Amino acid sequence: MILLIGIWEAGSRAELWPDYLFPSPSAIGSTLIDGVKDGSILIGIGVSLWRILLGYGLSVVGGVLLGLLIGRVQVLDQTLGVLLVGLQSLPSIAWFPLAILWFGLSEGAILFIVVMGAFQSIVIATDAGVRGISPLYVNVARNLGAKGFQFYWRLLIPATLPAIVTGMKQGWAFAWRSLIAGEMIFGNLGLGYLLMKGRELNNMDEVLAVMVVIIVFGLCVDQLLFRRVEKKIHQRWGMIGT
Amino acid sequence: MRLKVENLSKIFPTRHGTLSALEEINFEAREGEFLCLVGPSGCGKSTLLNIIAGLQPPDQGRVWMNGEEVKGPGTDRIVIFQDAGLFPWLNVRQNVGYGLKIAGVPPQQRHQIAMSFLKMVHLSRFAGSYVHELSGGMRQRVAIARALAMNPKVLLLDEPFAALDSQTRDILSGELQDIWARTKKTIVFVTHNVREAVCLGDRVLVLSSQPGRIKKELCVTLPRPRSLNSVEVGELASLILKELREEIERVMSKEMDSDWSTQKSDLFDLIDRNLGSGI
Repeated sequence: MILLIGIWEAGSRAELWPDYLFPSPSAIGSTLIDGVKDGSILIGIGVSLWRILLGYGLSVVGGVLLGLLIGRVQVLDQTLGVLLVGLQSLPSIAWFPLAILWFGLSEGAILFIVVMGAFQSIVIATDAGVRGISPLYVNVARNLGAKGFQFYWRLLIPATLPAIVTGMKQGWAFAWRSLIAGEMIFGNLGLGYLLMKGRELNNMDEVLAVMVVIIVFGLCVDQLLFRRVEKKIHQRWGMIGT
Repeated sequence: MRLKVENLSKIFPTRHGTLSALEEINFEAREGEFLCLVGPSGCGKSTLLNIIAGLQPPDQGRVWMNGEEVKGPGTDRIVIFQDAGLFPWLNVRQNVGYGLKIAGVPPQQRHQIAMSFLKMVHLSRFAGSYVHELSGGMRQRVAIARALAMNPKVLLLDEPFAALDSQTRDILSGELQDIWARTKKTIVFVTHNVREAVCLGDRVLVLSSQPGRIKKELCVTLPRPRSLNSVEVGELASLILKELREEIERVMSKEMDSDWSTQKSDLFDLIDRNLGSGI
C-alpha cells in the first residue's frame, strides 16, 4: 500500500502525467486536511452518515421482516420473492427518475434510492437463511411451545442471524454506493455532492480526496463492524472451529 | 391410562408410489411406564414419535392423551431428539429455560428450575457454556434437562443415544433409568438398538418395517437398575434380535441389488447353539 502511494507520488513529482488530471497523494492529503479544517468534509461525512443510517436502518428493519415472511409464506415467495430477485439486476440509481417523481428533489428521493439499494440483498439473504434453518430447530421450538410471534422472535430471527448479518453486510455496501450515486445527481452537502462540486470546479484534488474518504469509510465499517460481528456470530453458532 | 395410540397409519409418497411407513399401530402407555419401541431403520419409529408429539399429522388414526385427542404440539409431550437440537445462540441454562421463557415463567423462577434440572443431569458447572463447547453426551444431557424443565407428562425419546460413543451410552442409559425412577414420567423410547430397549423398557414393542407394524410385544421384568452389558439383558435381546433379523433381511434385500444376501453371522449361530436360551 505504502509502496503504491510512493510510486504514485514519485510519478507525479516526475511529471509523468499532468497534475490537473491525476493529482499527487500529497496534494490530495493537503486538500483533505484543508477540508477537515474548514469543516466541509466533516459536514459532508456527517450528512451522508445521517442519510445512510436512516435509509439503511429502514432497509434492515423492513428487509428482515419481509425476508422472514417470504421465507415462511409460500405465496409471498412466489410473488414478491421472484420480483425481488429480478430487481437485483437493477442498479438502485435507476430508480432515480421515479424517486424524483414520487418524492420531489428532496431527502426522500435519496432515502428511497438508499433503501432500494440495501433492501433487496437483506430480504434475499434473510429469506435464504429462513430456508436454511434446520428442521430440527423448528421441531424443537414447536415442541417447546413456540408459536406465532414467539416462533418468529425466539426461533426464526436468532436462527437466521448469521444469514441476516451476511445480508446486512452486503446491503451496507449497496446502500453506501447508492447513497453516493444519489448525492452526485442530487443532494445538498453529503460526500457525493462534494465529489460533484469538485468536478464542477475542475478541482481533482478535492474529487480524489472525497473518493479516499468514501473508500476509507466503507472499509472501516466493513472491517470494524461487520467482520467482528460476523466472526463473533460464527463462533457462537459453532460454524467455525472453536 | 395416559397415552393411547389408536389405528395410526402414515403413508409417504415417493417417486415409486407410496410407502406405508406406519400401518394400524395400536398401543397404550400406562402412567409411569417405560415403553420402548424397537425396530430396524426405516420402520417409521421417528415418524410415530413425531405424530405422538403432534409435530406431524397422521394420515389415519388418533393419539389420545388422558382421553383428549392430540391435535398439535403441546408441552405435555416433550421430545428428546437424536441430535439434541440445542440452540447455539443460547447458553446451556438459557437452553434449558427456553420452553419456560416461552410459557412466560418469570426470570428468577426460570433460572431456579433450569439450575435444578441441570443439577439432575450433573451439568450445573456448565450453565454458562455455549453448545459448541459441549461434547455429544453433554448436549444430550442438556436436552434431557430441557425436556424435564417443562414438566411434561410424557417424555418421547427418539434414539437419544444413537450418536454417542458406547461408554457414554452406557452411562447415560444408567442415568436415564435413575431419572425415570425419580421423576416417575411416562417414557416412550424409540431405538434400533435391541439391547438398549430391553435394558431400559418395562415393555418392548418390536416394529416391523415397510409397512411399520407392531410385530411383537414383550414385557421385561428383570430387576432394576439394569446394565446394558448384563447377561440377562443380552439373552432377552438375542430373542428379539432373531425376530428382527428376518425383518432386516427382507428390507435389505428390497433395497440392495438383487444379488445381495446375508452373510451367515457367527453371532447368530452361537445364539442358536446356546441350548436353553430364552427359556
